[in-house]
Amino acid sequence: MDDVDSTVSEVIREEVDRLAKANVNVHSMNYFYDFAKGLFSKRLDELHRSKEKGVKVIGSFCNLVPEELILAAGAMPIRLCTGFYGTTLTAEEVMPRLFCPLVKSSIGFFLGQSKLFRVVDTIIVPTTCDCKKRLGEVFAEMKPTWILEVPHNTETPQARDLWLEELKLLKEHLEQFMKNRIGEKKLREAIELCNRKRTVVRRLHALRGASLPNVSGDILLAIHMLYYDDAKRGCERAEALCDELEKRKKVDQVLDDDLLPRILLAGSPIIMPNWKLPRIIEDAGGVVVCDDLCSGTKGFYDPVQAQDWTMNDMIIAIAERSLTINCPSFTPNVGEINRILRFVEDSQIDGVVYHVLQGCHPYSFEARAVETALKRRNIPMIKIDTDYSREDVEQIRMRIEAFFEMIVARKEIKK
Amino acid sequence: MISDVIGRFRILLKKTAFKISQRFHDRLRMIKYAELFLVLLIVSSVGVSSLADLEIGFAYREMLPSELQRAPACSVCPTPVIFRIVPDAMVSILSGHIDLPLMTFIGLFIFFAFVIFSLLVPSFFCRYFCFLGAIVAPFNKVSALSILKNHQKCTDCGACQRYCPMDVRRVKEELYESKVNDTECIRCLTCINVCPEKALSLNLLGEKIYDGGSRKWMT
Repeated sequence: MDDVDSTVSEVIREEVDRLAKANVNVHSMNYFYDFAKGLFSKRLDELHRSKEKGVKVIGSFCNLVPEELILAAGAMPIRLCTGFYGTTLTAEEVMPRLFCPLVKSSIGFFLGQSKLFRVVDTIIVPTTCDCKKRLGEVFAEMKPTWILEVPHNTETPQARDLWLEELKLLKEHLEQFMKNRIGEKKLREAIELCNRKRTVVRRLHALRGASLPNVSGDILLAIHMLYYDDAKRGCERAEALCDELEKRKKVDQVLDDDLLPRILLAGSPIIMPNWKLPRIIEDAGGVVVCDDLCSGTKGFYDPVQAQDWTMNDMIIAIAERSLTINCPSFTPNVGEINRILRFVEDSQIDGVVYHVLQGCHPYSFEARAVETALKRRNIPMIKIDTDYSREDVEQIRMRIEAFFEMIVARKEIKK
Repeated sequence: MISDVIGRFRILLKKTAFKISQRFHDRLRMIKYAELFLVLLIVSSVGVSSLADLEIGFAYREMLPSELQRAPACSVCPTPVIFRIVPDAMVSILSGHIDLPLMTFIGLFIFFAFVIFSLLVPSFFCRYFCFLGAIVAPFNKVSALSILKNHQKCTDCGACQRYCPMDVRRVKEELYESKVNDTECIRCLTCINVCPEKALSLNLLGEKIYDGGSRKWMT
């Protein structure tokens, strides 16, 4: 079963090549294409090498796990969310069938003895949605796992206290595990590095909707890859991409077609080999101007805002930031709807494509609230229920094309 | 200002501000209004009785404790400790009088209590004991200098509330109105400086004069 990695790499290569073919000579993107292709080969080898030098690798799920603490402890963080259909089948031995495909896929990699399994030393799983909770249980049988208790009604002061305590415990745990004290200086550096990453994502976010050649799919990939890349290197490459795009923005202004549907992509995470929805949108002529995905802008949107830079202050700032992420497992999650409405207004969105993975109940529920809020603004929304398999590509294509036709017709009438 | 300086020491000592729970904060806040009421009561009673009859007024004033006779407001304030009581004590020690009045010790005690609390809680005195703040508070509503919030930019991150020395919640919680002057606000502009989205700005008669300037975090 050693070929899990090579099978995924094959699938990823196919997807990325398709993206690269449509590229409009943005050279900085080459790094991200190569990185995506090597996600399960080169990147894991790299982690393996640094592991031999004694650096520990800590795997995590969700945006609620503070990357800053892991970096400050001197470990390498890696996101374990995967989007490969092949491994979901192996996971069904231990997981129920009607379950989140993301979770199943990730467990499948571990059951299939992928390199990912060998590289990771410990795993941090937050109790956000039900699937993640169970995931922690299953992982605990295989690897040392730290379960991070997440409060769900985040507006109450007691929930904030709980979350703060939980992060302090995590910090202690990391210190023990790494045999390395997290000092103020280290934590501050880690926060500044992560904030730099967030700044870059904001820049990319702003560039996507500008009148450029259609690079929306590329930017979605670049932001997505920042979750997996080494923080510093990823930052530098993404900054180079920003600079190139800004230069291009001055030289050629192509995306001036008023009739192109400008799309906001929201909902369940879209993770690399499972790139079917962005691809269908691009094929149908839509531009993803904005995204609000867990695997995209959402995790990078808000900065950690510390001022005193004392230990406690920094941890409070990290804790407060994680609770403004608008995870759909929070209740009530008004922030999410406000954010989508703000994106709609800022980027002149014509329609929202809401991606829901089968078994992803939090997003499935939230779709209704988002739709009612959008209806008031007279913005159409389409909810796509799907999973990692490719059986339904053509059905989705039909629906998306019809949706876009409707948008274009509306725009023509407005004109 | 003294508590600001002390607050700097807090950061140097690497201590995080002590957080007072919201309900307790709302109760403590009332102390300064109670103080204002008492001071006004004493002053006006002396004034009215003197107006009615100078003799009775004078006698009534004599009945009050000596500290309240001269300046009733100053009895709660730590400022005279530095500027009057300590110099007085110094002068009397230098001129050979060792026996100091009891008021000096009480004043010093209050002063050090304030210093210690200010180390724990930012602008402790302004928050709960400054009755001048209580006089000024209502005028926040009609102030020429006002803090405006751009709801389009705000992402509800809560940084403004977290760093507010007066623990003002309205800046964060206001959802519709753009003018977010709270009665407790002392215009220290911390919220404007700390806002990562530049959603807050200081306006003078509707003219924007400050929005935090250039900072590292971009929008």
